[in-house]
Amino acid sequence: MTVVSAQRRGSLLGVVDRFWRKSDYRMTVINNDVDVPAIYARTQDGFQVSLIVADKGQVHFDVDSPCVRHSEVADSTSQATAFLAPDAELIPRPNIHSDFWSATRS
Amino acid sequence: MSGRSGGASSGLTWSVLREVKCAELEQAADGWGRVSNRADAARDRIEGQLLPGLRDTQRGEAPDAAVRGLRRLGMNFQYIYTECGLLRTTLNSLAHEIKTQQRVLQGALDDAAALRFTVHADGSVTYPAAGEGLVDGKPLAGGTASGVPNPGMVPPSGLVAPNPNAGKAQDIADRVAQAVRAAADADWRYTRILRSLKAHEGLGVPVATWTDAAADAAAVRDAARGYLRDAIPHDASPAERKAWWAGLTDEQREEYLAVYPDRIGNLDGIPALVRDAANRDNLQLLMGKLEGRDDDDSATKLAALREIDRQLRAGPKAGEPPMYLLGIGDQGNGRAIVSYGNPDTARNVAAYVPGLNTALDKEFAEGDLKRARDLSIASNRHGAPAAAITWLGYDAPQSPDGLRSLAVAADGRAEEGGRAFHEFMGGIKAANDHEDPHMTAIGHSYGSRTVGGAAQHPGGIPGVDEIVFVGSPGVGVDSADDLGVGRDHVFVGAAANDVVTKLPSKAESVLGVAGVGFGGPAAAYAFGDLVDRRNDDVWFGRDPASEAFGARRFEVGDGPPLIGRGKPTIDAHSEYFDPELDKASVDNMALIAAGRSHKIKTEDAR
Repeated sequence: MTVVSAQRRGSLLGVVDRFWRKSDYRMTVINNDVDVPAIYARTQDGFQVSLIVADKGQVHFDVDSPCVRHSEVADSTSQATAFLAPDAELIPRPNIHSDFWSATRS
Repeated sequence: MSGRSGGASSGLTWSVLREVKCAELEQAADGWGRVSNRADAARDRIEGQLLPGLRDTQRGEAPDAAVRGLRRLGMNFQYIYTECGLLRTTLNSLAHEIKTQQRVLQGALDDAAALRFTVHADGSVTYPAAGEGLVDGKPLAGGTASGVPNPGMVPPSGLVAPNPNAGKAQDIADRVAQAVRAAADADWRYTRILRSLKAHEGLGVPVATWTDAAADAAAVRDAARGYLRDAIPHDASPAERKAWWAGLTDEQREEYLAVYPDRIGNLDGIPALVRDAANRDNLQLLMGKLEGRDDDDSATKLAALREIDRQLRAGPKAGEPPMYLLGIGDQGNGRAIVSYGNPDTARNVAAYVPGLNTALDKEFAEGDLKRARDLSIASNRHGAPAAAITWLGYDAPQSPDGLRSLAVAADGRAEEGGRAFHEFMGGIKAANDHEDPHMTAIGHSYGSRTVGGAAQHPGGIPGVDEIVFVGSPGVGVDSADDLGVGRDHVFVGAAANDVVTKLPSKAESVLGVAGVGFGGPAAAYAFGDLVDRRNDDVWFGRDPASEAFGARRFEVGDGPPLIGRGKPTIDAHSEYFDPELDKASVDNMALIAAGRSHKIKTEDAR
């Protein structure tokens, strides 16, 4: 899971915020906390999207579909970019370095 | 020993009773215990390793068939585990009862030997001449006393011989007769039980077999009451229970798990892994019991139990918290306590108490359990390993028309539930590995009144650091200071469109209630609002979202308006836990549960 440094956090949030607003998403809740900022938005067709920064700067993107009839959802067919042990109970904290997102100098 | 009917005429004699080798019975019990353990280990291997391995790596018809075959094999082992465990305890319990009677018999024989009396094969006791006659002063003649198994049934005669040995001999003979009778009776009872511990032919474990296993367990429990059950410390504190369990031998633990999965599974204070194992077994027995019935109540509960069973068998996906069944039962409206994440090893533990109209039904098994699961996932993102629990450990009030029709009963249910929740949290605290785990109690709807009730016990709710109320119609106290955690640790989520959080107080409702018959809660609310605008009071006391209450209000979505989509809806009351509908609310609760409540997104009090 990619390490997003505190220095790059603002850039990431800014990029996402700008793109969502440009796409006509309606911002529902914004948490301005320095450590655990979060943006919650709703798309025109009812999808809920959110970006939260959690423990150890872990960034989570979530997308939830609007109300539909309950049905089984197939697993993603694309290969995950990071290994996750099949018996892992938790998503690991950020542990993958990115030259850009993990940089501590701006 | 004989299998004929009990009583003194069974053919069992005291000399036979004296020679019964209870150690052999206990050895046989150990043998069954080993078989039971091996079946348990085999089942664990199938369900814990083979099935997940197959599911995760293989697709297609052959693996699907293999999965079905392995499932059946797992069920077979489960059944072997249960029945062999019952056999083991039946034999141990029989040995226990026979040994007790052997001790009674031996005591009587020792007394007879000391007095130089003779105990005959038929149990009568001959005593020598002794004492002195009233007339001639010569020793009184000896004689023979026959034992009476139920001495209370024979009225004492006023004309007993004055030979001092006669009374002693009678006492010895009575004790011998009682021991023989009690042993014969035990023999008869256990013979019946052992004969009933039989499996159906073939490899399938059909429903009828589980119904039968549930009956077997009930019979063995009934018989083993003196041997095992009295020792379960139901009245002890959670910490004392934890110590009790830690002090048992492996063999004792196995027997308790096999015979009393229901009691061990619901015993607050013992390790979560033990409760989980016991409750998974009890779940099978409960399903068997309910499958044997055809009333609506049983069918409703059975549907919930099957859904819980399905989730337990499916197991967690990678990166998701495992499921622990901390309580299950069919009493009242049903009981189910499920933790997502191990509550003993987690640093942060949150427990959610559901509210009005919650019962053990399919909706609960799908919806209410998912709330804890979603909260566990969200909490784990925000801090140290967390567990989140859905606690249905009481009979929540059932009222299709909402709160109004249960004004009288409701407080009582909340107090009762509050006591049970108080004890449950005491158990969670005692069983947790950490010195001071961070614990959160969450009450939704009427469940917030239950949590409020639990907090009124001396010392507040054991171990609980934070209290969260969502969709609350009042919590039974008027200030956040009265909940035992300090007002900074009391949190409230109240959606703008959630009518339950605005239900007028009982006093106001005297006028507002006129609306119920016509337009349901919506109209009633409108009426109540007209009667008394701008009042802090709701149904169970002051509105916890009000400024006067003094809790911290966190941001939640507004929810759909009461009358906005064409017809009245109270959906705003049930979106707090649903990340698909109100993610901000779930994340705020997760931050509180993770011990980072200073990071929540707050909202102004009403």
